[in-house]
Amino acid sequence: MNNKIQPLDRPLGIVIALAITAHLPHMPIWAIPLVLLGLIWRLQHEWRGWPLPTQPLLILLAMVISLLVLFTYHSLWGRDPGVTLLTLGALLKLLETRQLRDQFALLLLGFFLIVSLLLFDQGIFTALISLGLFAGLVTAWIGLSNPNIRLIKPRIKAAAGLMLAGLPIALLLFLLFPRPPGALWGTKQPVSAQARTGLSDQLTAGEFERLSTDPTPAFRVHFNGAMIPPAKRYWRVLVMSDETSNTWHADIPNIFRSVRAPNVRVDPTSAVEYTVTLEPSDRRFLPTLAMATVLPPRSVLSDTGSLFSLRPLNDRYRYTVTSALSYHLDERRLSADTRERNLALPAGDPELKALAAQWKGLAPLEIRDRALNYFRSQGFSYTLTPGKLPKQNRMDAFLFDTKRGYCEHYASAFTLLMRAAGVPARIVTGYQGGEVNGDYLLVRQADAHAWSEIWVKGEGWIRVDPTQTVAPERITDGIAQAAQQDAALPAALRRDDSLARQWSLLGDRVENGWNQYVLGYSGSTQTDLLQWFGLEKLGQWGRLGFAFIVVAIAWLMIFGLWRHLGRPEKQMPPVDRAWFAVSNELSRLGITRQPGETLQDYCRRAEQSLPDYAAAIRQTQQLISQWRYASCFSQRSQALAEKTAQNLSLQLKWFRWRENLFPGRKRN
Amino acid sequence: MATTAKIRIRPNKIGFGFIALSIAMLLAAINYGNNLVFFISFLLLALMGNSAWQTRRHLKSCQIQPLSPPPRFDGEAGAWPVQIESSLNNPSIHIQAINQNGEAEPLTLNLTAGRTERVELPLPPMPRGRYATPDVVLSTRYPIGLWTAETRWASLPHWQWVYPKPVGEAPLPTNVLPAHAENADVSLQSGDDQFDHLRTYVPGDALSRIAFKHYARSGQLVTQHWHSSEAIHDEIILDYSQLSGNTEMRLQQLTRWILSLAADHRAFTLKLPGESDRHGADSTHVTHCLEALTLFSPAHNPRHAS
Repeated sequence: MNNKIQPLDRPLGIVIALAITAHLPHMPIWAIPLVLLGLIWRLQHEWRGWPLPTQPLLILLAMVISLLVLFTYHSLWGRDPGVTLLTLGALLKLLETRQLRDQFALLLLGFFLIVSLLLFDQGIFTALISLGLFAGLVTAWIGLSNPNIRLIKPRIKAAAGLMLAGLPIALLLFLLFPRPPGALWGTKQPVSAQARTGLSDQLTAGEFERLSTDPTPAFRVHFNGAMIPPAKRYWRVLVMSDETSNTWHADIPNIFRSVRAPNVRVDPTSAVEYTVTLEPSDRRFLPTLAMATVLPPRSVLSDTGSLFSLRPLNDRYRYTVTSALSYHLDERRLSADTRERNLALPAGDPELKALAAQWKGLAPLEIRDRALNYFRSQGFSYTLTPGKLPKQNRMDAFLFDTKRGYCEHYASAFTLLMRAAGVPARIVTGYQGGEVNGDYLLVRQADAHAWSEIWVKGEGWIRVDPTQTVAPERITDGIAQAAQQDAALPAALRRDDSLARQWSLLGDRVENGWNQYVLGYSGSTQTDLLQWFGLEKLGQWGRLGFAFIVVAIAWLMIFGLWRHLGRPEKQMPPVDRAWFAVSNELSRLGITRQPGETLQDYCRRAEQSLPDYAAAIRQTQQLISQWRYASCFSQRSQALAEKTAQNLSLQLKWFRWRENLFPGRKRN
Repeated sequence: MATTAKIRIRPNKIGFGFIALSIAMLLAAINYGNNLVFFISFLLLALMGNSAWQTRRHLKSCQIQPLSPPPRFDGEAGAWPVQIESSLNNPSIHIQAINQNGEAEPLTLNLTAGRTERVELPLPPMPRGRYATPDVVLSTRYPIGLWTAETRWASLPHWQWVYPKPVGEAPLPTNVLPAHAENADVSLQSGDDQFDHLRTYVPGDALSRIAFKHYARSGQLVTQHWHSSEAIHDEIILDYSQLSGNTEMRLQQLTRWILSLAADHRAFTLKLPGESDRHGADSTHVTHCLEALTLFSPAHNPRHAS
């Protein structure tokens, strides 16, 4: 500390303070006052000359922070504790910075802060913030390296030059640098901040209410052919066969063991191919249409037709599936075990059982129609706010008392009715519908839906959606139409044409593009790109080599362009620039101006060597001389002089080429 | 002048730090499969590569124009004026003369495009002699200090003259050339107004010698030249062999005399063993004499060496 304190570079201080502040949202609550206090201290040091904290105090602070992190996260290792330590470490470094060397350390920390910011969130907004911070750091960097530059403008100019020349290179590297699959070392992939639960593996009447007002995207679908009509957009996720005390449980096989394949016969003409981009999730469910036939890699299809991923879906995941819209699952027979599970009835609900008992003995499809008819004729209504149902005999209360419900109520009641009447039935949960936005279909959490499946011998499992009977608009037009009067519905879900909605859709389109092309860029997309060059077979090292070759070429091109833009005549005053082209041509013809030779003498010499152009040379010389020395030379004359000089240089160039091509041929 | 010299470019210590940083970033990107971290690390890499080129370009745009260094005396430090011009703004360009004995601290310049800057490079004290000018090293770390671009201009076409130190207490000799003394007798008879011939005036001619009568007649300035005059009687002979002491002491005494005579614009003749005599009074004569003293080596005439 005996050395003189070097003043902190202002831009560096500001950028580091901003980078630390940007980390606040995902830092533990106790870090916020600490960060504010630290920043204020440094600010007071800069403004009022407060002394910086002493070394022992800083060491004490570092120890306290480590302990707090340990208490909060029970670890010092991993993303969250690591980033908290890094951010607070940068804060301490900011409080300790006295020498130029410390400032360089701070600069390096700044780059790490940007990287750690991107580990938490990769949205467009965060990306823009990161890029801004990056530019700020480069500006600071130029100042640190050149203490001579006092002003900020030349620093920004130099930083912008470096960044602009760097961007194409960075983009090319981004596109061509090989992406090795998987992690290099065994870190647990952090769960993305946006990862959400979405559909649950349990269904209790009333649970979907949480999802029904959630406008966040669940997934986006791009169809490789034409988009299918709304009535067919049933996104199957889970099948639920078991019910205990009003809660349905999903049939989830152990996907890491051998999974029984579905016994299915599909109609190949009904196949559709589509690509789903699934938002991060802490589950492994992959929504599919009807019955998946061509599966994405590392996924398994259960015997109930649900698709599961073998890899965690912590990050946004894109997969391509082919589904058959027309299929027969378990067409001929149902195993005894499955049959028993799908006929099991809970205790209670006597009225429901009594109603169904009347239909016993009828054909299954007849029973289905009776049940749907019951919903249609008894004044049932579809609502997002069905009110509370009693714990006991819950379905009786719904069917014969409140008659107000949501898809899960209808699916549960219908399934139980069918079972009571002797038809194997189960619940399927997933999403229904979606909103067309540009060339893709946006499916939100609010589109979560539940429907039923009944088993009919010779047909297999048939989808029955009792909600459709009660509120057909729910299926054709989405939840907004069905629950238009509900005040609980957020603006993004309403299907009016308000400006806010248009903006939200446009925003989603931008976000989708970002997810698809930037965040979703991967080794397989790279292969598609390399196909253009016929290089899709290249291995990782080959790709690396190709990337370096392309980048080297691009670099040379950028330098060439830069040099072209920065040619000496660009910086000359206009009159010199006008003359430059002519003198350049003359010296290429071997007539160089001697040192100390006046323009007039030089031109006279040129006139003698090039008698054909004598008049033009004399005229140009006179105009240029006038421009340079006359007290008043109008804009029009300037334009004339420029034009004349330009013409002369073109003529000379033409003459030179002709002489080179047909030497010795004289003009008459 | 030397417009193209070879430019060497090498990374600095801090450059290695940043290379390590970008590799760490790249590893993090690969590990987390994070495309934005990929992009940021590529941007950093591209920036570092670009800065190498920028550094080189900023050095390449510089041109130096060394002037000839003014002669100095043994034991004095000198200054070498050098002009630098750049077609680009460069806030920190370093210029350094690489001397034989130790390197001087480089000078840092803030160059504005198109404006010529003049610096005086320090030259260290050296013993009597004629030396080649030191190599000039021009270097810059602009813009981000990751790279140093360096260019060295060697064998520049200038000499640095280090004259013998002007010391010595001996009084000026009073002897004149015998041949001139004979002529002096003849010319004295013909009187002061007798002059041999006229020649056109050259700046530096003594006022008293200008023929103002002729000027009144013809309007042209001419200078009179006598066969015999006080001027010749004034011509002091500085003879190396008449001095005592070792070579350096004799040369130093001669230098001292020459300087005092030159200050009075007096004519003198320098006699060095083994070399022809030098007569004259003008500054060129003084320079030639001083240079002769500087280059004098007793090895050529062992008889006169002490």
